[in-house]
Amino acid sequence: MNALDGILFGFSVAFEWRNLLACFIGVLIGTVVGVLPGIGPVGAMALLLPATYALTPAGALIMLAGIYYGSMYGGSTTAILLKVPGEVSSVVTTLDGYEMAQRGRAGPALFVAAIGSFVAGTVGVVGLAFIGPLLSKVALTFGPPEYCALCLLGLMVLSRLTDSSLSRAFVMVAAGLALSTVGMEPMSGTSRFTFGFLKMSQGIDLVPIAMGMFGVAELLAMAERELKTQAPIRVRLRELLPTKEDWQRSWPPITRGSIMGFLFGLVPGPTAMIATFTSYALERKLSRHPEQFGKGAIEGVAGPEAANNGAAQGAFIPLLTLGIPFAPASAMLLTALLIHGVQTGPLMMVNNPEVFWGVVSSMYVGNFMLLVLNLPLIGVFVSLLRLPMYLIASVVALLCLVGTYAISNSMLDIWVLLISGVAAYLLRKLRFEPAILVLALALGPILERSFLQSLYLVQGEWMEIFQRPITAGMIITGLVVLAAPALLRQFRGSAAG
Amino acid sequence: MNSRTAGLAAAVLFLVIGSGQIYMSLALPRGTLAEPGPGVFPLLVGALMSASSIACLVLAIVERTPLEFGLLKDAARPAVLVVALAAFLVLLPRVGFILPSLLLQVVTLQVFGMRGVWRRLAVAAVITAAAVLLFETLLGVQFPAPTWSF
Repeated sequence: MNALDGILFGFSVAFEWRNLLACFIGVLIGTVVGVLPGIGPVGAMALLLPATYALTPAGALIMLAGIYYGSMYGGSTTAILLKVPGEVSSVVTTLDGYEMAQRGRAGPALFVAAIGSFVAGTVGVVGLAFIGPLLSKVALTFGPPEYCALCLLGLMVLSRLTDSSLSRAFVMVAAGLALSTVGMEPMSGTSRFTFGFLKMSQGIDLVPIAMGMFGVAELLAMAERELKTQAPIRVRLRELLPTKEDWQRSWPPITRGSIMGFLFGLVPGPTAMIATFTSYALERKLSRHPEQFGKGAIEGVAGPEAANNGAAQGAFIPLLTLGIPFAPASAMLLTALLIHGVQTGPLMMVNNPEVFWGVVSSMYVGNFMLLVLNLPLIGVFVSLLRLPMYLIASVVALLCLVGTYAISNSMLDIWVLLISGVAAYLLRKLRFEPAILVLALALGPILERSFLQSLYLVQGEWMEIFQRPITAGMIITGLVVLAAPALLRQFRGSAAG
Repeated sequence: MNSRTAGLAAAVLFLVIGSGQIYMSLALPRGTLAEPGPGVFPLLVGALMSASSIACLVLAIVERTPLEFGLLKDAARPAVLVVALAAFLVLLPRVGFILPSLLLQVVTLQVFGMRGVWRRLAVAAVITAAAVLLFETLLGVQFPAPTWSF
């Protein structure tokens, strides 16, 4: 099936009424989650995982994916109107978006953010449709050593892309991998580190850990900050349209941000956030009015908003083509695929074309729904911000607990949720990044299986693993990424000296 | 506890966990390089954690930059919330869903600044009723049967 046939087939799947409804619910919840502080997209995806049991695998993935990219839209609303980024990837939008709102130009800022996100979504879908099949073909040549190297590359890049120092990041990687070793060993089935809990022989579930680290920990942080309900700026529909000059200034940043964001999305880590910062820096450099940045330059909203949505779409490629999650949200999607019995990896496109192409095409449908939801109905979402914080917090607390319990009716799961929530709250204070742990936990089983299979394959001659060109290339890339800051310092030092 | 002590304590804790992982992995069969056993991967992970923790320990001793947030700044409200969440978990299998949920809601509402005991109770009752309707009646979630009888 070529890309065009695939997209058309995908639309036939996406337009089935159940999938259309799943997509709508997903993007609606995503927008609400993006607007409201607290649970975040990963927590919301984990929470709604049990609700997807009644759906087909394609429907489940369409809904969960909708939550993820929908939250990117919602996050920008609070960033522009309240200077409170709903999502970390909307932080940059506060710089010029809020300034525009303060000058009575909230409408054009919201409009450009929505259009930028839509264009980036479109670029993302086209990219997914064309790059996805190519990457799948390449991935079919991968053996266990290549998968092992890919996981290692992902963890190495991730360690460098977060705020943590390298040693702290490695501690988090090791902690996540250590948790992934609990339960049955993949080759021999030997039970490990279960401490007498029968349920732990199946391994530690990703969902309670992710819910704890993204939901409960955020709730505890909110309790500490004592967030107050703020009255947002009112925006009328007729005030939304940008001027001709706004359009002229916005299109180039939107185009650049969309492409850049998509490419960033292919890389492991919090790429949506990094893409926004890079886009902002680039637009400022290219602008004829750099002095306006930080004071309400529309380019400072258009570029980053396109970049964060482009990155959100790009992040689906490693998952859908290689079966490897490079972001916590992708890890939740992988969990959903496994629950629904879908074999992930390069053959997914052949064995489950309705899932791959259905999700790809649904993103376009979802982005269109988001455009409709986020422009005429902006006032409805903004009014959510008038809900008292105590009401949001108490509902989120109960949803985290009951939602986690409901997945497998397990008390152990909600204890894991609480412990991981408290741990993540304390870890963040000590500048350890829990997102790395979550991702290492998701990658752990893939890494261990491919590592052990590789050793079996080369009969213990482990140097042979590094003699394979793709494996060697990935490991060298990872090492270069790890060493890059030190090398750059050295280079600057010698240049200055 | 200042930030430096907290950093040291975290590094030591991870070193203990890493060493524990190594110790427990050594009890598992390790096989050979050609036929690795179930202890190999956890052993490598334990070694990675121990080595990284030692690096963190050194950094915590050398580093002078303060942490972004004070460790125990305004910790009372989060601590109360943790106790309420733990109480929910302890009570749920013993008395069923309704009472622990009400208790959790009342405490959470208070922690986040809702005033008035009766208002808190009323809102907690509405949220609990909505949760029972959504999860038990509509989604068919089976909460643990109470083991305590009154």
